[in-house]
Amino acid sequence: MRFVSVLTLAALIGVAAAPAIATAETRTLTVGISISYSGKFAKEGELGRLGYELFREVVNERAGIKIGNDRYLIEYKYYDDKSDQATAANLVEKLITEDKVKYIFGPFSSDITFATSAIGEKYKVITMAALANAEKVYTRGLKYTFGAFPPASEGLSTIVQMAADLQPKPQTVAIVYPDALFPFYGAKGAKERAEKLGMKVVYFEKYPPTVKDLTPVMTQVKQLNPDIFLTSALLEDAIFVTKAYRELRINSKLMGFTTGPAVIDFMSALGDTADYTVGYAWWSPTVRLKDDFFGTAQDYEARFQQRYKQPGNYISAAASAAGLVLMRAMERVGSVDVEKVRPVLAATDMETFYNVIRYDATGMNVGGFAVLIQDQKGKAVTVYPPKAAETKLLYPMPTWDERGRK
Amino acid sequence: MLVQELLNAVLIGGIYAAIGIGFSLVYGVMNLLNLVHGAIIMLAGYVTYSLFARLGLDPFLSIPVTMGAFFVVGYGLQRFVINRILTASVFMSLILTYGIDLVIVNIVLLVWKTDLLAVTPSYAGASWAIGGLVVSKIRVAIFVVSAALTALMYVFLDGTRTGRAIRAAALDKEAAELVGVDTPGIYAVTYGLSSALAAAAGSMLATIYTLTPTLDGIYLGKAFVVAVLGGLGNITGAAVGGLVLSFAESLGVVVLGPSYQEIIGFGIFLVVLILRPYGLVGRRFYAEI
Repeated sequence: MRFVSVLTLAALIGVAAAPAIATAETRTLTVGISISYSGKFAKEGELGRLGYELFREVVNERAGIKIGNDRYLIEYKYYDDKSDQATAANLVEKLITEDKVKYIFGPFSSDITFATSAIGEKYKVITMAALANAEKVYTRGLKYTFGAFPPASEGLSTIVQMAADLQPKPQTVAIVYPDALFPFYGAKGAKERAEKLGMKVVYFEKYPPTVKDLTPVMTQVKQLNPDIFLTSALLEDAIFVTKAYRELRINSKLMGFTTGPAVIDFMSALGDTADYTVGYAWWSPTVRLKDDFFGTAQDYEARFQQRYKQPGNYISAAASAAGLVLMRAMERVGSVDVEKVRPVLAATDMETFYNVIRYDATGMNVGGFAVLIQDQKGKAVTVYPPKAAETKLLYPMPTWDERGRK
Repeated sequence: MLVQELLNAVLIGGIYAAIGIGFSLVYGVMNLLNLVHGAIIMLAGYVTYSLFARLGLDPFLSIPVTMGAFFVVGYGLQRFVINRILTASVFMSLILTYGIDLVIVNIVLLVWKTDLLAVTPSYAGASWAIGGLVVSKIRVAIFVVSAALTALMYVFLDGTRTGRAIRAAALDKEAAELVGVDTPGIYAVTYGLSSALAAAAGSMLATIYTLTPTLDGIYLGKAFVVAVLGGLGNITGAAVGGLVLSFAESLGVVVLGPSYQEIIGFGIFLVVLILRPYGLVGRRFYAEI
């Protein structure tokens, strides 16, 4: 008896639902993500995941992406690449051949993306390489790989760009960097920009990445007394460079870093010695940019804070924006077919809450700009470009004597 | 500016000597390549950080605390763990001490995580300006403390009963035992002293380096070069080795450029190994301390 009624019920539901299915179906689009949960990029990998997750949540709470007549909900298939290039390549192959995904959201770091994007190309699967920006990732004639971060060489050179308009105009630049790939691109970009803008690069030197005490190098910098002193390196180096800068009482007009002033660890390790230093980020909540999905940069920041109880960051923002760019391309084409989506995606030129995204022939985002951040009285504030600035750059840096520091 | 570079080199030499002296002592007395040495310097740095951040204890005042604590740790480590493999092959001692190093690194990762930490007393970064020269106050203090500790060690080994027993055990274990020296006890005391010296270095260096869980390898590498340059097992040799290494590095930067600063140091290291394997200060046929 009960069995019969269940059958009846099922039949009734079937009849009622049938017409709806015929017109618009809700489908699921599975995106593969192989990213670092462990290893040296565990933190960055986590931030990337938060960004991808936030994109998925917003899409699904708005009943999915409308593509043609159907609506697509997003689902992720995650794997941990352990911050290892070879593992990442295997996992992406597994995502494509076993899990049958047609779209990949990329891992953190250029080195790992270098490997995974090659697998994506092999199977003609689109990789949104949101978190990789070394030029070498893109300059291999890839057709299915698209970025989100602006090029690595754009960061430090933005500081040089800003400096060109300052009064008194800086004339000389010194640049130091550890002997590694990413720092090299940053240093090279800054050197070329400085020369183009008519400044003299008086010092351009790499040091071994294992060195922990830069006093000998910094003594040479002091001797040259450059107007601008730039370090293209990661956080640990930025801290000991700044310590040596103070110990040797070097007085440049502007001091810039790849990583540092925007990071809380930098300020807590250095105290007020960090004041006046300048660094960059690929996004800040203060940028005056918006889109019709996430809203303004502030809207994104508010949603991020409410969801994750921590301030937003440029890694998560880039990950979310990469999802948005792909979604818009699919909407325009009205299909999820990779071969149809690819050319439309490649022609992307749009403003998002995160940055402007415009692809060059290699799939690198050349539309974006870096945001400059200065430490002022123990707070990191955005000072450049004007469309993002909260306050004015403090320039020139006061000398150690003027700062009353022995 | 050359004078400034030379002055820097002298001060960095003091730091290197502080790193190398304990390593050299352990090798001289018990023929042990102690791979734990760098990790102890690093761990003492982290302890100094916590004492400073939690209790506001000045890093230089925390030296007696960390020295005392790590003497006990080192004594126990040698007595109950390392002593068991001293007569085994050199590979056993390398495996064991490397294992202990890994354990310490993971303790640091568990307790302090991977955040970059720095000990910043009010005088951090302060310096004296004398003529055109700049002299960092902290680096001078480190130099003075290192020199004092080296001198104390020298006096201790030369003038006390325990010190002479250590030297006797180093020269000839069997003969020392025949005249009544308790070599296992002496070895443990030596390892404790070495750990205490490493702890002093760690406390001081926490003020100028940034603490990361990868410092152990960097410290160990410097300790090894410094000790070999001066002559493994030679206390004054470690001081000489520290100075030679820092001068080589500084001159490398001036003469060849920053990329080559380590090449000159390691080049000298190789030359010394080939021409004077007993070190610049050591004497042939003697593992003298």
